[in-house]
Amino acid sequence: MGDWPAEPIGDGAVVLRPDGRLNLAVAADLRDQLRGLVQGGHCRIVVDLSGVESIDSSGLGALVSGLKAARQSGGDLLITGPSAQVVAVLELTNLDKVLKASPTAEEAFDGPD
Amino acid sequence: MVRTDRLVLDTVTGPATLDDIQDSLMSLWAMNPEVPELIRCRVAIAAAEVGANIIEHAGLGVPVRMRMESAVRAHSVRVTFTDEGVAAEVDLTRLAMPAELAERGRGLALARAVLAEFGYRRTGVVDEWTLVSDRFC
Repeated sequence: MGDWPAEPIGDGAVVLRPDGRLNLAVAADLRDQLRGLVQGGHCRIVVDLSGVESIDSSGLGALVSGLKAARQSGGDLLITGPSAQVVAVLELTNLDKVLKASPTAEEAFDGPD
Repeated sequence: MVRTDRLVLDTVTGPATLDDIQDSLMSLWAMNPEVPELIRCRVAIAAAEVGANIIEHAGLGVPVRMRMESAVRAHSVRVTFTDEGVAAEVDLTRLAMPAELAERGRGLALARAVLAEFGYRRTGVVDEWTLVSDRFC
């Protein structure tokens, strides 16, 4: 589990594409991979959730961990492609205000900082 | 009218348990196609959180016997989890979302948010969690 594909999307940003169910079973892998990206110099991260079937609070925790790591390095973490289930969980936990969604990965870091 | 069809998942917690929980619910939906998608989604969210809580806390990292029973009755979905692990130290009346940048502590509050009834009790050495969805027509 984990070790999902990560691709550069220009201007130093990278997109990570996890899939399946982001739950307790894989949350540590996701957290580690996000923190590894930051430690590797990628502090602007887009997490493409279009391949994610569902997310639970453990998966959310991993995304928040990645967000904090990115911000501490002067970057940010955004999401794109959330399913209806993911949107519902984000709203129920009030994390829709923290884990901002971009229409596409490529547009995530466009515009003024 | 009381429907007697129910599904039972009797297992020992392990890496596949969370998938087994969702697969069991998929079977329940197949048996009860009248359950609306919103109710299915909400029950799946709550069951995932309770299952994860049992795996992580009741077993303290060690596999623990767990039983999940699910059924559609009286226009609502009812799921019960029992385990023989460590008692949960939780007050379901005081659940709240943690600070927005917290990395833990949302699971049971999330489950509570999507259920009409959410209960926990410890009887002897058995934990019992009760999850009841909103009613649907």
